Amino acid sequence: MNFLLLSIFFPLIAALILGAISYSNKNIKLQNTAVFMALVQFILVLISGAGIGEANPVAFLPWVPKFGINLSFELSGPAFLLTLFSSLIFINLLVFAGSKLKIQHYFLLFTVQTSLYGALTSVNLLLFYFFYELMILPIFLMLILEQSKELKRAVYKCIIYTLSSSLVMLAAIIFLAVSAYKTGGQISFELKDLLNLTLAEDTQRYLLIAFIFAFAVKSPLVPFHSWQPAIYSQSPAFIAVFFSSLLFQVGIFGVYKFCFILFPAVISDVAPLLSVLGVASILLGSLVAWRELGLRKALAYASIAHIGFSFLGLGSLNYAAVSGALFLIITHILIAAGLFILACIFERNSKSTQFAAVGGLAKTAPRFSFFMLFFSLASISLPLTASFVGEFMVLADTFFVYPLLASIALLGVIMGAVYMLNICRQMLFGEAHGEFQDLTSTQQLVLAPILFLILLLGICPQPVLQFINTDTQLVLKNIEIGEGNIAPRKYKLPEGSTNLQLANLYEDKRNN
Amino acid sequence: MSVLLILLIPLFGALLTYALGRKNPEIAGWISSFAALAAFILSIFTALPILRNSTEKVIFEGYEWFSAGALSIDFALQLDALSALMCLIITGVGSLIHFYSIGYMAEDDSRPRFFAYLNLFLFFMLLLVLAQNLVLLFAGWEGVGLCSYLLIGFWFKNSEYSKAGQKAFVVNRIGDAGFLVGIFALFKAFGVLDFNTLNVALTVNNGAQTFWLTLAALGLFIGATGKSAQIPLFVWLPDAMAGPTPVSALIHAATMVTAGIYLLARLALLYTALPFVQELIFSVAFITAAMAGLIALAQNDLKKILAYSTISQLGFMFMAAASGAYAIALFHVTTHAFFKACLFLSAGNIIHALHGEQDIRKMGGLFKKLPATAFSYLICLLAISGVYPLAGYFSKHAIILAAEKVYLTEYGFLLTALAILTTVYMTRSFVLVFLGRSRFADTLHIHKPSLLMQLPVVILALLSAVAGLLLSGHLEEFLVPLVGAFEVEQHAGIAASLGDSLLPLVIIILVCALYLKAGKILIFMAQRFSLINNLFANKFYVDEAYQLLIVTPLKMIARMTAGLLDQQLIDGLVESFGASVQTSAAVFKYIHRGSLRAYLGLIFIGSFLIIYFLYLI
Repeated sequence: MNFLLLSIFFPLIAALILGAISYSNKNIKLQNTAVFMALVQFILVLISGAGIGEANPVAFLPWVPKFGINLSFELSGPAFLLTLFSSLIFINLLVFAGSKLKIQHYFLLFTVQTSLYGALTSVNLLLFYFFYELMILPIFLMLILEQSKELKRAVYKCIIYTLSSSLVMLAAIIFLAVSAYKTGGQISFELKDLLNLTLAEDTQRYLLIAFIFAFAVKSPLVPFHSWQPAIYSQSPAFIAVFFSSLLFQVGIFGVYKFCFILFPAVISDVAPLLSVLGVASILLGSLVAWRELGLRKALAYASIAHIGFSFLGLGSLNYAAVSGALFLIITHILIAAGLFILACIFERNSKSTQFAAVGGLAKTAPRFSFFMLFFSLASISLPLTASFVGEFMVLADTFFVYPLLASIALLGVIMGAVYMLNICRQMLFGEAHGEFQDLTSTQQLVLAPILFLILLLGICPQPVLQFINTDTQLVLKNIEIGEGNIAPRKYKLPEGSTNLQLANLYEDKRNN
Repeated sequence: MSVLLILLIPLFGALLTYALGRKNPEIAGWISSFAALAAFILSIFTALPILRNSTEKVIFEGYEWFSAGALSIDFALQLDALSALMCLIITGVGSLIHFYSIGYMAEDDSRPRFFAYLNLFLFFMLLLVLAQNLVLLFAGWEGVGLCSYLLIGFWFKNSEYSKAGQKAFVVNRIGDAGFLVGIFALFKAFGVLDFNTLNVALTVNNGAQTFWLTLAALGLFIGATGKSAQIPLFVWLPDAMAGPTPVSALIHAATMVTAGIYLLARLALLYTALPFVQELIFSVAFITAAMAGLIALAQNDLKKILAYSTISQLGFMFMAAASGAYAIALFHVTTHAFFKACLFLSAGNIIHALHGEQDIRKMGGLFKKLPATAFSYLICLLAISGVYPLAGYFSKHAIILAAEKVYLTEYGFLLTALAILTTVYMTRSFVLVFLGRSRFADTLHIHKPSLLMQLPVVILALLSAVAGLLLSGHLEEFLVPLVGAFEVEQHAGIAASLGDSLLPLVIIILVCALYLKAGKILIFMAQRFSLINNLFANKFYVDEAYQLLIVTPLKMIARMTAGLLDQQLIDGLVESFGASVQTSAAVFKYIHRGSLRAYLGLIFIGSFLIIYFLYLI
């Protein structure tokens, strides 16, 4: 049995089962079954990851072989981690959303899960495109049922924006497939067939930009972000959490998974742009987050800033920075989930979207305050939390290539403390005014594992990083860039240095 | 392994304090105090081989924290002479302050939280000094900042206090950004970040990579100005006095604020090779010391006076480090930890006695009412002024000699003037608090300090008295393997030392006399020179200047980014793109509205165009 295939399509099966159950008995409570299904899914993902490192698990089923469209998947190290953490957060999300969800919500959410896993693991470009688009449609269906006019407008904007941007990518994908036909006599969307195309560098550059444009809109990266804040701040709670913590990853990961591999010859021309836009995201995101008064809206802009760090690292094409960028995706899954869950609880309990609505929560709601403070500190990457590791790797190694950009990005590190602590101060400290109910035990149960994971990944990240590093090394090997990327950099001893013993000691230490 | 244990005891202490203390607040203080004490005792035992031979090191290899490619960071700890000294100060003075806090916080409902934070602070501070590489040091560095933030805003109901906490964190973050640039530059230069390898690299370096090393030295120094409250980032420390007084003693006087000097001493090789940076640090430190001393002259809040005094003394330490006399800087760190902690705890007793009053204009005549506290304060006053044979004399005198030797050969009197400034403002606080007539309501019941609050003060006063005699010379020798030697010609003989002490003693007596007998002259002077007095009292308007020059413009930029750039330009473009699609769709919709006449007309026009293009051109 192919566990990879099973783990991808299991949510779809689960959706159908849930549908059948609800059809047969209208009054049954679906939540427990759904959580159970999500748990099974998590275990399946865990099992499917066996063997990563030596040989990545693959799955292959022909679909339309004539046009080279197949159900072909490969679970690389980072993809495994992303699916793993996503399925974990999905469980938390289902528990958090509670009994509010109806069967259509469950059905659609589970469908999104399948498309998310499919998009992360597929190595067939058309299949990837299929899942990539499928991901957004159920969200669209769920949101369009909502009453708010403002939200409806935001949803249309989001849908049209992301769909049209990915149409550009679709054009590039088809162009690649046709080129494969021209060289090999066979149309193919398989990633491995598309690697060996000999295209003119100019053509490659245009194609690359088409891909990056689509991913930049989806992530989102400044200046393609304007659909995001409204969606994050106005959707119903569970969709906001789902969107902010799970769906953003496909864009960033897509850059790494497709752009780096498909266009190794020209990626180094376009990569600086990624870094620059990353820094622009960091600055714009943190500045606007500082001026926002709505909690979720501020967090939405903070997300943009965090995603900027990932892009900064990706763009540097440096080994540790790219690994750090991928690691940051994981930490952002966790932190965004935590913060948005808290934000939704806050809105429900305080009946306001403004974070200053009820002050002094540290006294009246100590548990809420504890989690809020913790997740805020994690989001400004305090050391010993997960995001510090990622951010440090990104910045330290980007500094090696672009010292100035990395230094400017540090302004975002400062600004992060400014806006997050400002939110915390107005929410948690000062005199309490207004009623606020502290976290229930279920809510604590949802948040505690996320908190634990953030700490664990901050103190002991290497076992997880190992999965990423192996893959990063393979991907970056093909990219031609400057000095000292993959091999450990050696410190050059100055000429005429006499202290041989010390020098040897240094070399020994370095080589270990 | 025992090194790791030193670190973990306070961490578990914090968890235990909070877990058990929530049900039973009385025991919270005791758990955390004994955790601190245990860490102190363990530190002594672990450091024994190092105390015998200071080239020894006790290493905890740890594990690989994170690595990718050339970047490889270990979670490794190292106890050597330098970290052993810091460990002993942190856990020793820390324990005393923990025990003191049991008395000081006895009536506070949130004691468990307080003591948990204190223990957590010890954990991070120990991580800072035990870390074997810069990144782990940075983890401790930010961690102590976090605890400082939590403890400054401990009484969070007062939103001014939590604002002060936030200010401390943000200002420190600015320094931390500099710190990170420093780390990155070192990484770029050498590719390694652990201290042992770095030191080797710096030894064999021979002046290569000057640009990146200069950047690293400057960046790390900016980090140090944040944590150790030097210009330009000193503004948070006076506000940090919002925290409970034991916190001010532990974090904002004895331990955390000296982290910057520790950092410079750790990277002594880096700084020694860059004379330009050293000169810069010296100038910054000198100006800071002078400025803080002048401000302290015009403050009326007892804790603020002590805070500015701390800033000024930290300036002295940086001057020593910048002169290459790292061991002397650390000597002053040690003596300062004793007398400043003692001063703050005494201040705590005074404030406690007067039901929270901190204004020295409303004190006076407390000598008889709080004799032990007053006596301790007096000893520390003599110590900080540099009177032989108290601790401050040795360290401060050495600093002045070192600075004179390296930089101010011709202008040694400037340093003596700074030392006199210290004596003046400290004596002023002493006179106004303890001597003269009492200026508070007679009906006020004076809280006598309990034994728990008195004993640590007395012990610290005792240490302030004798530490100099005991440690002078030995401490410098102890640190030589790590920070190198620095020769200063100490005055030989007791007679000469007593001679040196004459000046501060005369100043003390003069100031006492002035304040007791000629208060009117002082008031007249303050009015006559109100401009200068206001300048000092308002801290040279530095806060206001920052507000005007940095915060306000930044807010404006942020508002413009949010409004103009984000909403109008970026979103506007997207929206107008959508609108243009809608407009063109409207045109097509109009054409396809199902009118037969329109279609016929279009067919006619179309055929005409085809014919025109095909045949008539």
